[in-house]
Amino acid sequence: MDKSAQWPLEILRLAGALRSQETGFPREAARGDLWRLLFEALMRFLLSHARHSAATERAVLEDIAAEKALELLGRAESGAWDITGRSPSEVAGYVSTAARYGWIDHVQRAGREVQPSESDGYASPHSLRLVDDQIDGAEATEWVHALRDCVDALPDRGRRAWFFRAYYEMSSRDIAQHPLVAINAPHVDVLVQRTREALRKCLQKKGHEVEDAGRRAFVELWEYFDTLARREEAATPLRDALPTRRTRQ
Amino acid sequence: MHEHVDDDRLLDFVGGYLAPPDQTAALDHARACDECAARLQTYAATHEIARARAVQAVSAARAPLPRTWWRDASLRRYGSIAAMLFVASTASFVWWTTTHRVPPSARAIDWLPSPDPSVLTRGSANAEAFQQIGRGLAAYRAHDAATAVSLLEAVQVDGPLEQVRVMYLGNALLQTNRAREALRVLRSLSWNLIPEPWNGEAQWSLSLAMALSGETESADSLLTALSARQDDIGERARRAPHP
Repeated sequence: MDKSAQWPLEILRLAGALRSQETGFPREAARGDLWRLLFEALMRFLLSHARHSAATERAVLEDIAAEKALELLGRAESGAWDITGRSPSEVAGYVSTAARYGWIDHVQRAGREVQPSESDGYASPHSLRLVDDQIDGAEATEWVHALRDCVDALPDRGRRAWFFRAYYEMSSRDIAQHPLVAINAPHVDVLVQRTREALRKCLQKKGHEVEDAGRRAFVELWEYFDTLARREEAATPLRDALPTRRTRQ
Repeated sequence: MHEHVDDDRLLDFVGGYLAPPDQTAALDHARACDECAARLQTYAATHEIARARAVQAVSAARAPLPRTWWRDASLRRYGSIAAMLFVASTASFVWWTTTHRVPPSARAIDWLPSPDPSVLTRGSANAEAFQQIGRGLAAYRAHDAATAVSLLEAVQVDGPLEQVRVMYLGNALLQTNRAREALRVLRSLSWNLIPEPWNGEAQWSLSLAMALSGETESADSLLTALSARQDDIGERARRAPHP
């Protein structure tokens, strides 16, 4: 098993693709993919920094990551951040430093002191009720299977919108903009509500009363949606012309 | 039990950068480890949020504004004047557009982003058809809509490339004032298979085809949906006169 992080290699590859493409689809796709990965990598370090600050909301970290990712993308495009020939660990170090500076700026702006805290969670009022903590063994497995069957029977757009809201606490705007949902933001809440209702009825028919799913179900559903997404990606025509590498394909 | 999945590995995992055996091992571990499942949930959420925001963020990066202009006192003064002029011109614009409705046909029929030649590198089962689509896309790239239509409508292929053919044929038909045919062609697209930004551009073409074919209600509904987007297409849709 290769233990080294793969995402810095992907950043190197996307930055290379950005340099080699003058215009057109591949360049636009590389820009989008690079921003996305920088955002994710910056969040990885920001989450680590924020573990010591009980009061930081996730949305604040996302704002910092978005701003820094944009800055790094701009620097990569202008040549100010040239990572040609750099090692993956140097790339990771650079992203880590950018995240740290972003975090320090935020703390200074907010006039807060960073206090170590035991809490590393991002509990929100919308946090899921971990109902499968209350059920175990065969009952839990049966429940997860029932949930998966019910989700499978839902319309594609609705089940994704529901999953994004129930498990990722994504805003209506983010769900609406997601390429696999792509609907008008005001319709998201209606869609999620309808889907939740359909799911509840389906579960009730199967003898379950549970409204929201827990972490055990999350892993199962993540795998389910990941399989769906990969199937769609494989069937997506133009994406094949783009410089995306998915090693697990 | 295996050791916990670290943060770098989770980032690789949700991005799909792990080899299949490593992917399976990480997933199996998360099934048995509540703490790792919780962290996986955090990383997966970040991944999807990033996907949702990428188009808008990258659009913003195209025209970066100076970060500190507002700190400059003279620029602030000029900015205030500019803001007043902007308000005045916006008010005039609103008045003008509400009193001088522009017909739907006056909306620009945009060309789709140029197709990349590498879309034709896959598959060779029907080499002749692939070549014809290649010629059709080349004509489209040269903005020769009539030739693109004649080449693209005379051939059909299986698989993903068919969606490419249909999308460009639909827009080329629009360019040649064959709105009803464009509407029929564009309606046959499998929208969930078309990624951004082509998806949005093709929807824009569809809304035009609807408007030009007299389906004003459908065109208006689609235009309203496109207006909610936070990218160039959304901006275009917000500026467009509704049919």
